[in-house]
Amino acid sequence: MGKTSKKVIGIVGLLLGILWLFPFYLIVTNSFKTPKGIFASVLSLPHPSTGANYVNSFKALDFITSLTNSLIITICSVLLIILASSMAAYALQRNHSKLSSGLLMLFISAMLIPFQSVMIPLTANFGAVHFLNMWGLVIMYLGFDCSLSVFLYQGTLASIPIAMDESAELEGASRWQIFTKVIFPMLSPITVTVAILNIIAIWNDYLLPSLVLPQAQYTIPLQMFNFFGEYTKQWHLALAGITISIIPVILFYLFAQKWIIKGVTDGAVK
Amino acid sequence: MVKINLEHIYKRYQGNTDYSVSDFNLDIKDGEFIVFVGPSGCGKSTTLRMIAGLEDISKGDFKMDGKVMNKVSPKDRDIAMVFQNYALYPHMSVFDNMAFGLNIRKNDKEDTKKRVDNAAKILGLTPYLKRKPAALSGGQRQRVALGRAIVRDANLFLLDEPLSNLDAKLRVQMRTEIAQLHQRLGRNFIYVTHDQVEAMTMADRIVIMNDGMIQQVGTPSELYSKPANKFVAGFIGSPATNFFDVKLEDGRIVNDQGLNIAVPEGQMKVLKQKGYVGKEITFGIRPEDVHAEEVAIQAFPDAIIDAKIKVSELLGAESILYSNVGGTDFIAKVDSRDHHQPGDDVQMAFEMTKAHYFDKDTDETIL
Repeated sequence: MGKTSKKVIGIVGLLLGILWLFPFYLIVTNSFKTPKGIFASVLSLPHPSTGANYVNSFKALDFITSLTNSLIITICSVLLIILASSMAAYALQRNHSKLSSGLLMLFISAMLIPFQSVMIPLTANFGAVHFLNMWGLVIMYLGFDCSLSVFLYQGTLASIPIAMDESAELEGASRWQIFTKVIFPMLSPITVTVAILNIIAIWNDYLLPSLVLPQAQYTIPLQMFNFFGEYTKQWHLALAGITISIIPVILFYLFAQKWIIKGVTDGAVK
Repeated sequence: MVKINLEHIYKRYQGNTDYSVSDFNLDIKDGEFIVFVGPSGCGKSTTLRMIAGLEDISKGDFKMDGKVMNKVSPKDRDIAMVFQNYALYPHMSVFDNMAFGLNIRKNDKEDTKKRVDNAAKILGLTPYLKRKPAALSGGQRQRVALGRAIVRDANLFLLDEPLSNLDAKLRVQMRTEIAQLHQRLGRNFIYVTHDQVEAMTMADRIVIMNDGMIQQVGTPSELYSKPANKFVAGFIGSPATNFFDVKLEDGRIVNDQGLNIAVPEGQMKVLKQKGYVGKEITFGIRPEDVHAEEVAIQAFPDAIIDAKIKVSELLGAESILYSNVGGTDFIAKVDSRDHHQPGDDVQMAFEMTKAHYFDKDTDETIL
């Protein structure tokens, strides 16, 4: 690659980086402005700067409660999705029967069903069994998000040689031990990917929780809606709220990213 | 120590009409090093996997110390196996990889450590015990795979082409190490390879397979000097045996491409007794039993051929000469002093006492 091409790629990369970081700039800078300051100039730096938005937003969101709700729902859903989809994918990938192939196709085709087409009967059925609460929501997420996760796990499992299972089997491991001690640790990179995809989707979801959750179990996105009335929009508080609410996701991403770049079978074979 | 019997073993995969392994019979003595050798797809790995319990046996009995093991699960067979691709657990250290089987079986931790340390010492892995497999070279990974088998102290060791991923130099080194390991442990080893040099150098006995069937079982020297059929004669030995389609006439083997060699009296007597006079047979002579030195030409005056060299390879002590003789591509392995260049006309002599004769229809050895 020539020097000029490298420079062009560098400049394009820089511009794209700025473009992607720009929403963060808007959110963070405006979260420190007064309502008047936001309307005066959205792009300028906060002047005067105020931290009061954070205090007020924290109170208005009932932040501790809504954060706890968001955390419980997200963590439980993601853990269940990881557990169920990794085991299901393992069983489907290692079992070469026609039934397995059929089930896998069923999982994959489930990804194509639009959520909106099933949300009314789903909430009606869950309501009928008095399950319109955060645990009902966790089960719904498990159902909706397993298909993509199974698909991702299945692809990775296909690259793990069957000799790994056979070797452990000969060493005396049971099927459960083979999965938990040998296979699942080798799935770490894809597990992190599955976790990130699902955490972002579930943490930010608005529609499904709005149909399912009672007010006492509102998550952060639902509470955030309180800032947007019919006639007034409290952008200064909403942006402060958004800044606080994305911190856990960013922290998780920073913690998890080292796992993503690791090769799945690094050093296992050959 | 364990006595192993494979009695009329058959394997047919679901959906296949043919058997992948047919009528496999073998008795393995205590502490024997057995090598299954044959071309790709001959059924050697399938047989090994049936012994390990990783494949079901369609028909026949696999016995260990007289007990039928067909339905016994792999973990209860007291078998350790080294896989072609090593199958090391990448998230575990070398120590944990080697200790895995013992930990699974809830072995005493002190004893596990002792056994792993001992195996590491044997294999020269002591400095690497804390490393992950990714931080090891190919040869070291292979040693870890061997170490994992050693610590188990199993009765039977199965090795499925364990050296095929190593470079040539390392392969020779590991070959010696595995042979020494076998002597040291005194256990039964079954080793699968498609490399006849590995088979010849390591085995107490070789099982040579083709098309799912045993072609011959014997010591390396038996297989080399007394091949049971044309396949064995062609597979064992490098370069491969030269074969000529010939007719036995007037005490000579002849063909219409100009080959005309006298058959020694003793051999002729046997061929006559077996009714092959006047019939078409296959004649085989190993490249190393062809000589180009003057002494040999004088010593075997009735077995001389004229060859025009097409390609020649000087290997140091030896020279490989490629030509066409009697209508057949022909290879001779001669002393490097008799090296010739392509285009040279060379007279060579067959050492007929070492010649082989095969039935043209059955490919079975006549003599």
